[in-house]
Amino acid sequence: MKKILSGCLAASALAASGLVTAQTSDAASVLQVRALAATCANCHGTNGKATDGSAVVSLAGLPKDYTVAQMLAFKNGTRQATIMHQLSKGYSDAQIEQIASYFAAQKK
Amino acid sequence: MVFWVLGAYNRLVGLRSQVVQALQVLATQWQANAQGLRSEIANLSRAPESDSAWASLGDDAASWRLLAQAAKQFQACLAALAAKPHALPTRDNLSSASAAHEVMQSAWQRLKNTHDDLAGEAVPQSLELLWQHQQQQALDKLQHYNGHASAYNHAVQQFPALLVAWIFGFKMAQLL
Repeated sequence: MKKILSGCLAASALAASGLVTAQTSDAASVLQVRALAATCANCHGTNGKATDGSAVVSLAGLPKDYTVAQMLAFKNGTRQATIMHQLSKGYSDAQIEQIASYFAAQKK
Repeated sequence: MVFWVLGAYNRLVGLRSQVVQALQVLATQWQANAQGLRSEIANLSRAPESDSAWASLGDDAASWRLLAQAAKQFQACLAALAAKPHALPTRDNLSSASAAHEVMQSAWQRLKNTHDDLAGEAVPQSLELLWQHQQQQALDKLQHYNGHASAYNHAVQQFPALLVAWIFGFKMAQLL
Protein backbone atom coordinates (compact mmCIF):
# COMPACT_ATOMS: atom_id res chain seq x y z
CA MET A 1 0.00 0.00 0.00
CA LYS A 2 2.84 2.34 0.96
CA LYS A 3 4.60 1.59 -2.35
CA ILE A 4 1.46 2.29 -4.35
CA LEU A 5 0.93 5.55 -2.48
CA SER A 6 4.52 6.73 -3.00
CA GLY A 7 4.31 5.70 -6.68
CA CYS A 8 1.10 7.73 -7.08
CA LEU A 9 2.72 10.73 -5.37
CA ALA A 10 5.79 10.50 -7.59
CA ALA A 11 3.65 10.18 -10.72
CA SER A 12 1.49 13.17 -9.78
CA ALA A 13 4.60 15.23 -8.96
CA LEU A 14 6.03 14.39 -12.37
CA ALA A 15 2.77 15.26 -14.09
CA ALA A 16 2.56 18.53 -12.16
CA SER A 17 6.12 19.49 -13.07
CA GLY A 18 5.39 18.73 -16.72
CA LEU A 19 2.28 20.91 -16.52
CA VAL A 20 4.23 23.75 -14.94
CA THR A 21 6.93 23.50 -17.62
CA ALA A 22 4.31 23.55 -20.39
CA GLN A 23 2.54 26.53 -18.80
CA THR A 24 5.84 28.40 -18.42
CA SER A 25 6.77 27.89 -22.06
CA ASP A 26 3.25 28.91 -23.15
CA ALA A 27 3.48 32.05 -21.07
CA ALA A 28 6.90 32.81 -22.56
CA SER A 29 5.62 32.48 -26.11
CA VAL A 30 2.55 34.62 -25.37
CA LEU A 31 4.80 37.25 -23.86
CA GLN A 32 7.09 37.07 -26.88
CA VAL A 33 4.17 37.63 -29.28
CA ARG A 34 2.88 40.55 -27.18
CA ALA A 35 6.36 42.05 -27.19
CA LEU A 36 6.47 41.73 -30.98
CA ALA A 37 3.05 43.36 -31.31
CA ALA A 38 4.16 46.15 -28.96
CA THR A 39 6.76 47.22 -31.53
CA CYS A 40 3.85 48.47 -33.69
CA ALA A 41 2.23 50.42 -30.84
CA ASN A 42 4.04 53.72 -31.38
CA CYS A 43 2.16 54.37 -34.62
CA HIS A 44 -0.72 51.89 -34.63
CA GLY A 45 -1.73 52.32 -31.00
CA THR A 46 -1.80 49.97 -28.04
CA ASN A 47 -3.07 46.54 -29.12
CA GLY A 48 -3.36 47.87 -32.67
CA LYS A 49 -6.05 50.41 -31.84
CA ALA A 50 -5.04 53.68 -33.44
CA THR A 51 -6.41 56.89 -31.95
CA ASP A 52 -9.54 58.37 -33.52
CA GLY A 53 -8.77 60.55 -36.51
CA SER A 54 -5.30 59.07 -36.92
CA ALA A 55 -3.98 58.72 -40.46
CA VAL A 56 -2.45 55.40 -39.47
CA VAL A 57 -4.59 52.31 -39.87
CA SER A 58 -5.84 50.35 -36.85
CA LEU A 59 -4.49 46.81 -36.94
CA ALA A 60 -6.89 45.36 -34.37
CA GLY A 61 -9.33 42.92 -35.92
CA LEU A 62 -7.75 42.94 -39.37
CA PRO A 63 -7.80 39.48 -40.95
CA LYS A 64 -4.53 37.65 -40.44
CA ASP A 65 -4.02 36.82 -44.12
CA TYR A 66 -4.52 40.44 -45.12
CA THR A 67 -1.98 41.73 -42.58
CA VAL A 68 0.55 39.07 -43.56
CA ALA A 69 0.11 39.86 -47.27
CA GLN A 70 0.58 43.59 -46.69
CA MET A 71 3.63 43.13 -44.49
CA LEU A 72 5.24 40.80 -47.01
CA ALA A 73 4.44 43.29 -49.79
CA PHE A 74 6.20 46.02 -47.78
CA LYS A 75 9.10 43.71 -47.08
CA ASN A 76 9.51 42.64 -50.71
CA GLY A 77 9.15 46.19 -51.96
CA THR A 78 6.02 45.49 -54.00
CA ARG A 79 4.04 47.99 -51.93
CA GLN A 80 5.44 51.49 -51.53
CA ALA A 81 5.40 53.21 -48.16
CA THR A 82 6.94 56.06 -46.23
CA ILE A 83 8.67 53.85 -43.68
CA MET A 84 6.89 50.50 -43.44
CA HIS A 85 8.98 49.03 -46.27
CA GLN A 86 12.03 49.56 -44.05
CA LEU A 87 10.51 48.62 -40.71
CA SER A 88 9.05 45.39 -42.10
CA LYS A 89 12.56 44.14 -42.87
CA GLY A 90 13.20 43.92 -39.16
CA TYR A 91 10.88 40.93 -38.85
CA SER A 92 11.14 37.36 -40.09
CA ASP A 93 8.20 35.82 -41.96
CA ALA A 94 7.36 33.75 -38.89
CA GLN A 95 7.31 36.85 -36.71
CA ILE A 96 5.02 38.59 -39.20
CA GLU A 97 2.64 35.63 -38.95
CA GLN A 98 2.68 35.88 -35.15
CA ILE A 99 2.03 39.62 -35.19
CA ALA A 100 -0.82 39.22 -37.70
CA SER A 101 -2.40 36.47 -35.59
CA TYR A 102 -2.18 38.64 -32.49
CA PHE A 103 -3.89 41.63 -34.10
CA ALA A 104 -6.51 39.45 -35.81
CA ALA A 105 -7.52 38.23 -32.35
CA GLN A 106 -7.99 41.77 -30.99
CA LYS A 107 -11.39 43.44 -30.98
CA LYS A 108 -11.81 46.44 -33.30
CA MET B 1 3.27 38.03 10.20
CA VAL B 2 3.04 35.10 7.77
CA PHE B 3 0.35 36.87 5.77
CA TRP B 4 2.41 40.04 5.63
CA VAL B 5 5.45 38.10 4.35
CA LEU B 6 3.27 36.42 1.72
CA GLY B 7 1.84 39.77 0.67
CA ALA B 8 5.25 41.45 0.45
CA TYR B 9 6.68 38.49 -1.45
CA ASN B 10 3.83 38.48 -3.97
CA ARG B 11 4.14 42.22 -4.48
CA LEU B 12 7.87 41.90 -5.21
CA VAL B 13 7.24 39.00 -7.60
CA GLY B 14 4.60 41.06 -9.42
CA LEU B 15 6.88 44.10 -9.72
CA ARG B 16 9.81 41.98 -10.88
CA SER B 17 7.60 40.34 -13.49
CA GLN B 18 6.64 43.77 -14.84
CA VAL B 19 10.33 44.69 -15.12
CA VAL B 20 11.09 41.47 -17.00
CA GLN B 21 8.14 42.01 -19.36
CA ALA B 22 9.12 45.61 -20.04
CA LEU B 23 12.67 44.51 -20.79
CA GLN B 24 11.41 41.86 -23.19
CA VAL B 25 9.34 44.47 -25.04
CA LEU B 26 12.39 46.74 -25.23
CA ALA B 27 14.70 43.92 -26.35
CA THR B 28 12.22 42.86 -29.05
CA GLN B 29 12.05 46.43 -30.30
CA TRP B 30 15.83 46.71 -30.36
CA GLN B 31 16.12 43.35 -32.10
CA ALA B 32 13.71 44.41 -34.86
CA ASN B 33 15.46 47.78 -35.16
CA ALA B 34 18.90 46.21 -35.52
CA GLN B 35 17.63 43.70 -38.09
CA GLY B 36 15.89 46.43 -40.08
CA LEU B 37 19.01 48.58 -40.02
CA ARG B 38 21.21 45.73 -41.18
CA SER B 39 18.82 44.98 -44.04
CA GLU B 40 18.92 48.58 -45.16
CA ILE B 41 22.72 48.66 -45.02
CA ALA B 42 22.77 45.43 -47.01
CA ASN B 43 20.57 47.12 -49.61
CA LEU B 44 23.00 50.02 -49.83
CA SER B 45 26.03 47.80 -50.34
CA ARG B 46 24.01 45.33 -52.47
CA ALA B 47 25.96 42.31 -51.17
CA PRO B 48 26.35 42.54 -47.43
CA GLU B 49 29.35 41.69 -45.37
CA SER B 50 31.94 41.13 -48.07
CA ASP B 51 35.00 43.31 -48.70
CA SER B 52 33.95 44.25 -52.24
CA ALA B 53 30.47 45.20 -51.03
CA TRP B 54 31.88 47.45 -48.34
CA ALA B 55 34.31 49.00 -50.83
CA SER B 56 31.34 49.98 -53.01
CA LEU B 57 30.27 52.37 -50.25
CA GLY B 58 33.33 54.53 -50.92
CA ASP B 59 35.16 56.56 -48.29
CA ASP B 60 32.64 55.74 -45.61
CA ALA B 61 33.02 51.98 -46.02
CA ALA B 62 34.71 51.56 -42.63
CA SER B 63 31.94 53.42 -40.83
CA TRP B 64 29.19 51.46 -42.60
CA ARG B 65 30.98 48.24 -41.79
CA LEU B 66 31.35 49.25 -38.15
CA LEU B 67 27.67 50.14 -37.96
CA ALA B 68 26.57 46.83 -39.49
CA GLN B 69 28.89 44.81 -37.29
CA ALA B 70 27.82 46.67 -34.15
CA ALA B 71 24.18 46.00 -35.07
CA LYS B 72 25.00 42.32 -35.49
CA GLN B 73 26.81 42.24 -32.15
CA PHE B 74 23.90 44.06 -30.53
CA GLN B 75 21.51 41.40 -31.86
CA ALA B 76 23.70 38.66 -30.41
CA CYS B 77 23.67 40.36 -26.99
CA LEU B 78 19.88 40.70 -27.16
CA ALA B 79 19.57 37.03 -28.06
CA ALA B 80 21.54 36.21 -24.90
CA LEU B 81 19.08 38.33 -22.91
CA ALA B 82 16.13 36.57 -24.54
CA ALA B 83 17.54 33.16 -23.58
CA LYS B 84 16.27 33.68 -20.02
CA PRO B 85 12.92 35.40 -20.55
CA HIS B 86 11.72 35.06 -16.94
CA ALA B 87 14.78 36.30 -15.10
CA LEU B 88 16.21 39.72 -14.44
CA PRO B 89 19.18 40.16 -16.77
CA THR B 90 22.67 39.95 -15.34
CA ARG B 91 24.84 43.05 -15.21
CA ASP B 92 27.25 41.44 -17.73
CA ASN B 93 24.49 40.77 -20.26
CA LEU B 94 23.19 44.30 -20.02
CA SER B 95 26.61 45.92 -20.16
CA SER B 96 27.64 44.01 -23.29
CA ALA B 97 24.35 44.94 -25.00
CA SER B 98 24.80 48.53 -23.88
CA ALA B 99 28.38 48.61 -25.20
CA ALA B 100 27.29 47.29 -28.61
CA HIS B 101 24.50 49.86 -28.67
CA GLU B 102 26.96 52.66 -27.95
CA VAL B 103 29.23 51.49 -30.80
CA MET B 104 26.20 51.60 -33.12
CA GLN B 105 25.38 55.13 -32.00
CA SER B 106 28.95 56.33 -32.43
CA ALA B 107 29.29 54.71 -35.88
CA TRP B 108 26.08 56.45 -36.90
CA GLN B 109 27.31 59.80 -35.59
CA ARG B 110 30.58 59.30 -37.42
CA LEU B 111 28.71 58.73 -40.68
CA LYS B 112 26.62 61.81 -40.03
CA ASN B 113 29.51 64.06 -39.08
CA THR B 114 32.45 63.14 -41.31
CA HIS B 115 31.06 64.62 -44.53
CA ASP B 116 31.44 68.26 -45.32
CA ASP B 117 28.70 70.11 -47.16
CA LEU B 118 30.27 69.72 -50.59
CA ALA B 119 30.48 65.97 -50.37
CA GLY B 120 26.78 65.67 -49.65
CA GLU B 121 25.09 63.50 -47.07
CA ALA B 122 26.69 60.12 -46.36
CA VAL B 123 23.42 58.77 -45.03
CA PRO B 124 20.50 58.51 -47.46
CA GLN B 125 17.39 60.36 -46.35
CA SER B 126 15.33 57.18 -46.18
CA LEU B 127 17.83 55.63 -43.79
CA GLU B 128 17.91 58.78 -41.69
CA LEU B 129 14.11 58.59 -41.43
CA LEU B 130 14.30 54.95 -40.39
CA TRP B 131 16.96 55.69 -37.78
CA GLN B 132 14.94 58.55 -36.25
CA HIS B 133 11.80 56.43 -36.17
CA GLN B 134 13.62 53.53 -34.55
CA GLN B 135 15.20 55.79 -31.94
CA GLN B 136 11.78 57.15 -30.99
CA GLN B 137 10.25 53.66 -30.79
CA ALA B 138 13.06 52.42 -28.58
CA LEU B 139 13.05 55.52 -26.38
CA ASP B 140 9.39 55.03 -25.44
CA LYS B 141 10.03 51.44 -24.45
CA LEU B 142 13.24 52.34 -22.64
CA GLN B 143 11.37 54.87 -20.50
CA HIS B 144 8.69 52.27 -19.84
CA TYR B 145 11.35 49.78 -18.68
CA ASN B 146 13.14 52.31 -16.50
CA GLY B 147 9.84 53.29 -14.88
CA HIS B 148 9.09 49.68 -13.91
CA ALA B 149 12.70 49.06 -12.82
CA SER B 150 12.65 52.14 -10.58
CA ALA B 151 9.38 51.09 -8.94
CA TYR B 152 10.73 47.59 -8.34
CA ASN B 153 14.06 48.86 -6.97
CA HIS B 154 12.21 51.23 -4.67
CA ALA B 155 10.10 48.34 -3.34
CA VAL B 156 13.18 46.15 -2.80
CA GLN B 157 14.92 48.88 -0.81
CA GLN B 158 11.95 49.81 1.37
CA PHE B 159 11.90 48.70 4.99
CA PRO B 160 10.56 46.22 6.05
CA ALA B 161 10.04 44.68 2.58
CA LEU B 162 13.81 44.69 2.11
CA LEU B 163 13.99 41.86 4.66
CA VAL B 164 11.72 39.75 2.45
CA ALA B 165 13.79 40.77 -0.59
CA TRP B 166 16.99 39.79 1.20
CA ILE B 167 15.62 36.44 2.40
CA PHE B 168 14.23 35.44 -1.01
CA GLY B 169 17.13 36.87 -3.05
CA PHE B 170 15.38 39.66 -4.93
CA LYS B 171 18.13 41.61 -6.68
CA MET B 172 17.97 45.17 -7.88
CA ALA B 173 17.14 45.78 -11.54
CA GLN B 174 19.66 47.72 -13.57
CA LEU B 175 18.45 50.98 -15.05
CA LEU B 176 19.27 51.56 -18.71
